[in-house]
Amino acid sequence: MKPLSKKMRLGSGILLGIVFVILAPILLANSFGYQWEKIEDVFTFVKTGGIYVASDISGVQIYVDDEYIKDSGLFIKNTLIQDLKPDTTHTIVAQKEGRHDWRKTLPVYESLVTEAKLLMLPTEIEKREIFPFEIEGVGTTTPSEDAIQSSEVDDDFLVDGYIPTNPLYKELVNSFSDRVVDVYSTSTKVTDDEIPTLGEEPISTSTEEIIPEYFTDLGIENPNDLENLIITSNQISWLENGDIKLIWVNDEKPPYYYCFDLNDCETEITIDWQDEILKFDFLPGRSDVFVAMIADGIYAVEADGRSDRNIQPIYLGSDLDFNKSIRDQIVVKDDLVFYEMRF
Amino acid sequence: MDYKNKPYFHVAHARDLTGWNKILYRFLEIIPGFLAWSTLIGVILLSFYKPVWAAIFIIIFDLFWLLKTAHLSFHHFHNWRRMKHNIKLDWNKQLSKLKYENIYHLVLLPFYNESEEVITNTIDALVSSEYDKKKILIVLASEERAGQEAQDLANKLKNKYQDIFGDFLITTHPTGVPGEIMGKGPNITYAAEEARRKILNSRGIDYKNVLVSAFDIDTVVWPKYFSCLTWHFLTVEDPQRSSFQPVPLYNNNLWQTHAISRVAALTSSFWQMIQQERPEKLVTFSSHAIPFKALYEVGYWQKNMVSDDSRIFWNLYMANDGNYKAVPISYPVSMDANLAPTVFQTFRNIFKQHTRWMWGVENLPYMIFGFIKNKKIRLKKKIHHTIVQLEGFWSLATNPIMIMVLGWLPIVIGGEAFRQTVLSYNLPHITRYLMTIAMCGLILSAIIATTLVPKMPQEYKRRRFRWVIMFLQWALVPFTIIVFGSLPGLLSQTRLMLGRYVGKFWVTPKHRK
Repeated sequence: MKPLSKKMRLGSGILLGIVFVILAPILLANSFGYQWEKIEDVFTFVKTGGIYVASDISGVQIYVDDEYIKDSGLFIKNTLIQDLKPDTTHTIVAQKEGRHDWRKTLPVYESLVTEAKLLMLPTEIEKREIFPFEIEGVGTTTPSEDAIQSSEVDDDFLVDGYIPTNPLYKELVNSFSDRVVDVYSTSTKVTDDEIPTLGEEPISTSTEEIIPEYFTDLGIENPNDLENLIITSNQISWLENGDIKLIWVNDEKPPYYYCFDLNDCETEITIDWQDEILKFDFLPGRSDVFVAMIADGIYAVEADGRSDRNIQPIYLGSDLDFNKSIRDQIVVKDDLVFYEMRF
Repeated sequence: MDYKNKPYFHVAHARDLTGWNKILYRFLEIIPGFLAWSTLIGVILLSFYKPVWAAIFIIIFDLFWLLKTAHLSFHHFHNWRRMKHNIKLDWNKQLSKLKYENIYHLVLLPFYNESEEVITNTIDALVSSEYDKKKILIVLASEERAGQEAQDLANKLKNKYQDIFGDFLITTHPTGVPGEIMGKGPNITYAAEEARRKILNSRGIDYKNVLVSAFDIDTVVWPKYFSCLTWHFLTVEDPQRSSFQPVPLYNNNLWQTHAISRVAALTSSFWQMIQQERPEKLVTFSSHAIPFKALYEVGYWQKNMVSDDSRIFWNLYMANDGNYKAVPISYPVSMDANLAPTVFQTFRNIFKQHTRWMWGVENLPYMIFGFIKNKKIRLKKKIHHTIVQLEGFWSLATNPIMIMVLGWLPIVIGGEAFRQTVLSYNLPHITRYLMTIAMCGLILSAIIATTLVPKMPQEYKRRRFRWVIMFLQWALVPFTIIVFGSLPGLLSQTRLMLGRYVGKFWVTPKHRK
């Protein structure tokens, strides 16, 4: 058997060279978003744009202007919708059984990709009650054998006179109480008069605390006066007249949900709800979605206001409260019962 | 004056020269590392300052790589078929049409401290050869520094095998000879000269009729190797100006070693198979054969450098003014894949072995320097070899890193403005599609590999899943070509660029389970 002849090898090389010459410009044109389109009986290249829908849920059906596009994959859950005409708006709808629909009308720009992220909470959110005691691996409200009675702990924090044994329950009781010391500490009993509340706690104690520059820029002299202040690495947010104020405090360009037009990015977003927001926090794992409590329940609401904000219920009811647990889960306090919400 | 008589004919590195020659050689030593680092740093800078340009370059390069993979797979597949054909062919019948009775094979088996089992396996394979054993002259080339134990083992093996072969010579390469490195080159050069005096001269064998097979000590010849080699020697145009290259299959111990070692070993074998179909790019590597006369005329292998197996080709090429070639015989010899007592040691040994192989880049300045100095070599050949060798070392060190790692760089460091473009979003998609198609070549590799795996040892018969692993292991290629391809290549080229020469031949330990 003879080795490959020079002719064969040359032929293979030339063939692949031709493939390269043909494919390279097509690939590049495609990469830049060019599309071959017939305009007034003439075929021409036109530039297009796209929309990128980020998601952490698989199997979501994506529609653009009521036209089904695709399901998000099992591993690649994000969806890139390409070849959209620039300078137009498109309504994206995401659906999945058992979850709330998500809908957003977004602009498309030439050669650019408009970003968005899905918010699709389950329609029936699984909730797990956090019990004060545990007997044989099962949570219960009945004091377990190792539970102890105490006269040093306030009755308000005892269950049938016993100190709860579940550490998570105790942590939650502490987090929902106004006190800054452990309510189950039996070393010293502190009277209510002596307990400083969070609101009364001074910003600085022995040394003067340095107030970040961005507060000064915003004309805020004492951040401690702000209600429900939350500071993250790039954003600060607080409640103001029942609305959420969200401020971008990084020098870099803010993320897409601050940008309402191609070259129009704000640094401030106001979640102006018709009902008064009583309390808020960020949805675990998201910096663009709030958990907001109003009089009739707790909701998730997008910061992204490029079109109507998607608002989805987490827990409905009155006289509620919520917090984040040490496991970074939303815990709702309904009367005297704690529920950990599982998304 | 013939080129082989020039004072720089056996130069190892720039430090061996003086004056302008030293400056020129040093400049040539810097080129490969400079090219590799310029490319990698260039892609990083381009990704940062001009991410759009970087993305265009990456997409075009990915496409080029895919088509190159297809081109190489075509060569690989053909060589696999040719090798299978050559394995089955009755080479003795082919030889019967030629006058071959006067051809001798001088087999050099250099060893240091390898076990009796390893050496016995090698010699047993020679015994099983379907060639007249009286025409096979064995030289067991030991090292003085290996001590009395190695001498005793050599003598024991001589007593066992000497009556089977035409001759069985033991040579002991002395330690501490000035100008020599500790390595294989000095040992086989010493052994070849000893064999010339003690076997060829004493028996009056014409040097023209002797072919030298320089083997590694774990080289197990296939039964028709010498018949195949002899046929090629007798039928090739200008046999005294040709070296002969079998396919080194690193498969002796494939069942015993680890998946990563198997993939690294077979990838090396596959590369040699591809080169067999591209003879104009072929250079001798590892176990190879050379006509004794040609070898003698250039003073055997160089004793002052590590990659003697490839350097001897360039020595012969320069000495013959470019009229010398490596002939692919498309017939395998089997060698050991890396295996050590622990997984970590195995990986370390693979890395060290591949770094030594990649140190073959030291031949690049020698080759270009020779091209500049030897005016008798045709310009076309000079340009061809320079481009082939430069591209080979450059692509080995940089391409896998560019494909697997740097392809994502414009998105990561290209800035927010680029990150929002359609191009930025398409870049990973297109790269992934092209690479996925390129990975189809791996399926071909996996299929070919299964045909080259030796028979499963009895102790593994119950573990059928090993065949599955033998197939799935090819998914490790993106990892192995970077860790055992690019990184050793980059390391070697950087060392050469900085003038930190490798002065000792690292002997790959041969471990058997």
